[in-house]
Amino acid sequence: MLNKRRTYRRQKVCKFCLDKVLQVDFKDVKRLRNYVSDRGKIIPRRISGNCARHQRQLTIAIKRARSIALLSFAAELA
Amino acid sequence: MRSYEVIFILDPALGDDGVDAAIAAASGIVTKEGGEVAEVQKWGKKRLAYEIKKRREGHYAFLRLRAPVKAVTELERHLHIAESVLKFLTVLAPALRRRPVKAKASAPAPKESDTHGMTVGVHGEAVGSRRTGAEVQEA
Repeated sequence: MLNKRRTYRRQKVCKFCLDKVLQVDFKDVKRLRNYVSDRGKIIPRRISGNCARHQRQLTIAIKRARSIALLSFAAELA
Repeated sequence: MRSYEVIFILDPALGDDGVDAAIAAASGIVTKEGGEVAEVQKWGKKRLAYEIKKRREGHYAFLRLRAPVKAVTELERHLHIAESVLKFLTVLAPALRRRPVKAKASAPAPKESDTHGMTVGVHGEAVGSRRTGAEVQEA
């Protein structure tokens, strides 16, 4: 109540749950892109709002996508 | 027999014929060892997220298999040797859940979002199967 500026509400739902994704797929690069930073790091649950189960699947999916060069391990040196 | 997904990246210098030949060779090995190729997808020439063997792009080929372990090891041996293969990845396909979960199982099939013409989530029936993925990779 003291700090009125902090009125924004965090997106509370897991996008994967909304879309009823049963298994996060490492081939779905479009979707995975939303969950890595521009440096290529995986975005934490605290920020993305994913549920635990989907975040677990997501990290594995991202790592697989990286190993087959669909996603980068790290941003390239400019 | 288990279901696998195999992706391999082929040299961008290969033409369409070369890609088809490489896919045919790979599926040939699988069928010879008693497996079956359930699905073949060519994703075309795509840009790689990072350089592999000095290439910045490559032809992606995707196979869905139902095959005994022997076939998969043989296929991997082949992919290791084949010069036109830049990199490959084999994962266990998400297994079908034996006991349907009441809510999730009755839910409609997961939506297909189209990424470069690949089907997504169709096969992904399994929940809680995060350990299904024995990953094999090759640099």
